[in-house]
Amino acid sequence: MIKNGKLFGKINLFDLLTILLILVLVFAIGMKFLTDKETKNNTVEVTYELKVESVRDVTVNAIRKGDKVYHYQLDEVIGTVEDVKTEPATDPMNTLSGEAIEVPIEERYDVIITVKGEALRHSNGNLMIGKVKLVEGAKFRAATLFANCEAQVQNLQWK
Amino acid sequence: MSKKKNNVMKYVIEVIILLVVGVVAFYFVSKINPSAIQTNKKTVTVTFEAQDVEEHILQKIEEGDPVSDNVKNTYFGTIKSLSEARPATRTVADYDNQRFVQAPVEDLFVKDIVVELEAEVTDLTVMAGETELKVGYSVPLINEDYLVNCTVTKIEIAE
Repeated sequence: MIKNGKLFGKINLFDLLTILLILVLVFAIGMKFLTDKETKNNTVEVTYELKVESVRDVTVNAIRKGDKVYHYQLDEVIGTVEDVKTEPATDPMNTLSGEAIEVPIEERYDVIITVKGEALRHSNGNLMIGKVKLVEGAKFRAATLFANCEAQVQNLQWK
Repeated sequence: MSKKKNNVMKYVIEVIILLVVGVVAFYFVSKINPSAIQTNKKTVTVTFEAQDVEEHILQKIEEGDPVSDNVKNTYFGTIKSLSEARPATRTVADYDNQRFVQAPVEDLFVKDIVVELEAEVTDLTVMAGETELKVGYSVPLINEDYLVNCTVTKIEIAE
């Protein structure tokens, strides 16, 4: 089959490999260009809140405006902290009179982190940041440089 | 085509393949472990809150003690400062006042242990050797005289 470096004695093997390599490179660059163009067209600005429940003040202080936020399991940056608000944390209490009421927890806070980022809006309506699907109610471990908490997505808006 | 030309083509292809392999390897290494590509060592001051410590162990913890992470075997450095001991607390239900309160636990204490250490800092993580540091993480600190279960409560990066 290969004789004196020639395929079937006619086609030079090195020339063939070079041509194939060039074709692969041209195809890869073309695909990248087309994908980038498509990505640019479907990119939307997203603003959403991450709700973190019942944490101590040390955790609240560790979440800083301007820090990047990332999905801890998927290792994907999902925006930047725009604002941090707190409210007293609560939990249900079963009273001695047989009621279940929501009561405050001393020294524990619920944190509302406003996050801003860029997402891809797919034709099926899904908002994706890399591998992360952004949807109301989604729960995952969200991390910043100094903090890592179980968080839930709420008030998701895009434009 | 001459033999000489064939050899030149062979070398060109080898160089191109090596370049492609190098670029792909660099991309994957930088994705999997960014610190392997870019080192950014900084001095970091970390506050570890030693939790539920009995008094006889509390008395052994002193400034200047060398401490390590007992799980990852990371040597952090020596204790820079210590806080006064405070009573350990538990969240308990206060049925009379319909709220959850932080109640002190008898004979158990908490104490802040401040350690200055060298860590790799990116805009997402602080890594002291194999130990990732974030507020809320549990780190068992070990010394030849004691082992205390700690929670990271503060991280400060020197500019």
